[in-house]
Amino acid sequence: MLAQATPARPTPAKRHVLHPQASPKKKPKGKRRHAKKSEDGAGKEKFAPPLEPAFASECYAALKHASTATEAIAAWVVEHCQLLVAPPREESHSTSAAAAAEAQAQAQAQATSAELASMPGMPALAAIAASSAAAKPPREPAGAFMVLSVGCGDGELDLELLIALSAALAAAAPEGVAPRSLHYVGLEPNSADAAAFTARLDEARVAGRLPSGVVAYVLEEAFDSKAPSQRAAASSAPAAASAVDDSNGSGSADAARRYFGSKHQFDLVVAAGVLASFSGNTHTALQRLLASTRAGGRMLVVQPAKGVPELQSQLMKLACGNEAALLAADEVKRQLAQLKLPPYTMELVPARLHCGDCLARNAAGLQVPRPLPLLCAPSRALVRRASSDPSALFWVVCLPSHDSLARGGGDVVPPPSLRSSRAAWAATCASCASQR
Amino acid sequence: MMRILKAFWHAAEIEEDGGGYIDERHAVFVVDKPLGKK
Repeated sequence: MLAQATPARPTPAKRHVLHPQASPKKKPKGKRRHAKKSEDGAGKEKFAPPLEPAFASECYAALKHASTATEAIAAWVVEHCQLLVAPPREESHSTSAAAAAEAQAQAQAQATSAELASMPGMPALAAIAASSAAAKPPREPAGAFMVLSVGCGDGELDLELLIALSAALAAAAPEGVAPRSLHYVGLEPNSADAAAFTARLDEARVAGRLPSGVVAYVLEEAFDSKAPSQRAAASSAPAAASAVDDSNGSGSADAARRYFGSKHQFDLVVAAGVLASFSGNTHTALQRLLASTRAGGRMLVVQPAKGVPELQSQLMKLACGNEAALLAADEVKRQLAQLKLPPYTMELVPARLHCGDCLARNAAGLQVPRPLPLLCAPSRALVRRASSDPSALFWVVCLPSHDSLARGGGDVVPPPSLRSSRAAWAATCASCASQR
Repeated sequence: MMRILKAFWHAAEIEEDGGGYIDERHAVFVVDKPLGKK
């Protein structure tokens, strides 16, 4: 395993309030030209097919282990969860007015009770009124706070989100009013990750970290739009009673995948690092996320802005000939600008992706057997598959020095501290050894 | 692969002990859906 990542430097997160209208509405000319070229190219894949679930899960786990991003984003969520549960402005005004009216009525009732108690022969009546008021159950909450998390993964971030939201809802409830309950639905089409999150939820409940009133479950379903074959099947068949479409039994990967469908809208829709996984374009994906958000609700979208995207760009140029499919934070900003929404906030959360173990090929780094075939024989197909997935990219980026140095180094010169390990790197790869 | 390696060496901060890391930034968007929007 890789060594545990050390905490990021305490650089404060930068916060921006962005006015969508002020954002550039057009893509840079170069990028647009690349995109057009890709669309024109007959037979070229615009989006890579999904990685196998087990491999994707392995890559994701390794990336998380090496990066401080998950804990940094979780810390941001814990710090800002009050913002996520706060009612919209108009509703906030009406809620505070209702609370003030209720407090005034309560004060008036107490004054009346005191007046009754002071009158001769009335203390008994006052006592009955007081006990009746005490027995009255708290006012019903406004309804459950509904959360939909798209591509929740193994739930490391979402569990922290759940705990923070539960606490924030309790803190936001007016005095004497029961807090809104929390209802969470996680969507994760990767069976391995969905099972891991379910186990994580069970463990948190047993440990008492997750309040008993929180309803949380994970559905092994995709939020994506349906595959063409499923769309055709759905249009020809009568509407199913279930909101979820089952496999049509054709045996293909698309057919085996289950798709989430619900007319319900959620108070908070979370999409953390998953926008690149949708098969459609980003604009459509954001529209679908927005459609699942109730009026007055919020979307929480997390997307890499710096670090991996620069490397991903180079890999995409190699694998696909252009970087049209690259989806970083700038592209999200461009797409949000086209949705005609009020100003939104964006903060940059700093993190570190550690690649020291892989670079140094030390004991921890050498315990990663899986990427060696990928790196020693980087077939175009494998690289293309990895290029759309930042977690798989981790394998490609953080270990290619091994292949490069084993074959002579080329024009890439590693720092002096790493040159001495060149022979050790080559010796560790059976594939390279067999080629020599 | 050379272009990727170059980008990697360019992005990575190499420490004295031979370890390395890449500085990352993750953008967190909070988008409000207006009350009147369906």
